[in-house]
Amino acid sequence: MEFFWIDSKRNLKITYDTFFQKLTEENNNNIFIRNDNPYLVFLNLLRNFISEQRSVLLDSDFSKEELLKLEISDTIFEQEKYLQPNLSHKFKTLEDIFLFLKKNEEKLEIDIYTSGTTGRPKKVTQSFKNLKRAVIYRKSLQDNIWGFAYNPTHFAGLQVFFQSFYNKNTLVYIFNKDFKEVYQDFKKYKITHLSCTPTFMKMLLPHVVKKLNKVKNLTFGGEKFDSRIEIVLKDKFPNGEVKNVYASTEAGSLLKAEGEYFVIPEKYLDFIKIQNKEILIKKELLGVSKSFDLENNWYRTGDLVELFDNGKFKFKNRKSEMINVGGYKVNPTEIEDIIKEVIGVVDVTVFGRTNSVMGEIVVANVIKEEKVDKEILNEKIKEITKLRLQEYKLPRSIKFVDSFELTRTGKIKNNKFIIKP
Amino acid sequence: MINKVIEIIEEILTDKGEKLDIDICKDSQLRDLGLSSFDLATLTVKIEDKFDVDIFEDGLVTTVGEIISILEENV
Repeated sequence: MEFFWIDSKRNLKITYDTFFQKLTEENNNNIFIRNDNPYLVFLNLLRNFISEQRSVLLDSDFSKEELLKLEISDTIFEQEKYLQPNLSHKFKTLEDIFLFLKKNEEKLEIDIYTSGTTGRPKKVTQSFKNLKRAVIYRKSLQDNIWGFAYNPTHFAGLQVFFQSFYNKNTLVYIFNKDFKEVYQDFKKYKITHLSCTPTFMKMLLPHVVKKLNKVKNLTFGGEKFDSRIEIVLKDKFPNGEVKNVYASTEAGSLLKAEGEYFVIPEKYLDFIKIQNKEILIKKELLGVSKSFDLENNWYRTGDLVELFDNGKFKFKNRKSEMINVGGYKVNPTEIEDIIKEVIGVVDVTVFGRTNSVMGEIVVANVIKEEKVDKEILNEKIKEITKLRLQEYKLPRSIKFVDSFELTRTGKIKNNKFIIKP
Repeated sequence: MINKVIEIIEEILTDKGEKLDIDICKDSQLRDLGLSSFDLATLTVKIEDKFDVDIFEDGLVTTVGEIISILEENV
């Protein structure tokens, strides 16, 4: 029996036969997909594809406020439902679905949201063709078993999903669960491939009691690779080949590296370039978005690199003020806007502070009204941010200061922890 | 010092809305206390602010006792 999806936390074991049946049967589908069960996210997404409907992917933990910022109201989930007829006569086997996807890959689209740099999240429309650009399918990969360790509605999650689905591999959902159980899942289901953020790996490593010899491939993405874990990695996963990928919501999966050093592959030489140590991507490789600011058809990613000989380069920090919390991009303006609403707050600056667990975390410096009590205000800020923001966006430290230091150009200088370009 | 560290952990757990029904001691495993990666990140920040030491600098720490040892060495 070939399993498509295993999620022990939700007691789910879905075979490819069942999945195929679910894909083609008559049922209600959502255009706007927001579900905390990742299996249902992928089911809904593929059902939309084969019904030639678009999909809008939303994080299941978006608050009402966060949705409103995306101009999405709560009622849309009911309004934009449609009934998919029984498609079992059109698709007799899973292969028919693969053929259909191949034929329509340019037409089929997904909307994904990414934290914008200007205070508003931006919507990026990706064609299915763009989405599966990095997917490799061949016979030798058919026995792979994937650990699924990303948010299903984010780009990296979609990548792993399609890579596994196209090769009819088993996906074992190991995200958002106790790391002790994650380790047990590795042993029980004989996971061979894992793609995750370096932060996820750092959390998992202390729980890997015995070597996991079955693991053949470890792919890291979302944030800069943390070379401190390299030795432990080799010890716990002796057969695991380490790869780093560079991908973005705007452009999809672009670069792959053995170890930390990347090169621009020949096929992308006309489409990816490095200017002033920053990665630039040509329009042709990008999804579609109104928010892209292009310069002569080139998009500035804000991702900075350090150059070495023979075209090799290594990723450094980002040029923009976006904060990378364990692979999640956070826009400081979004958090500042919410904290500013709290009565007693005069001004606030939110920024990233280097953190050995998650790369960076969100912290806030607050100027308060003189008479307001620090403790009470601190509680109020914690309360409002918790209510209205996703967990990774929450400030992990709130400090009360008398003023923000200014730089010579008049910009607010955060403090010694600022990530300099 | 141990009291201060326990106090910080308790504060993080209370902020999460968790009941403090386990006694935290030197042998307590950080993950058994229900601390997620976000909470561990918070823990490092709070300890760094208090003692000016990054407890996770050289890799991962798993017990409360290990945090105390690192602090005793560096403070």
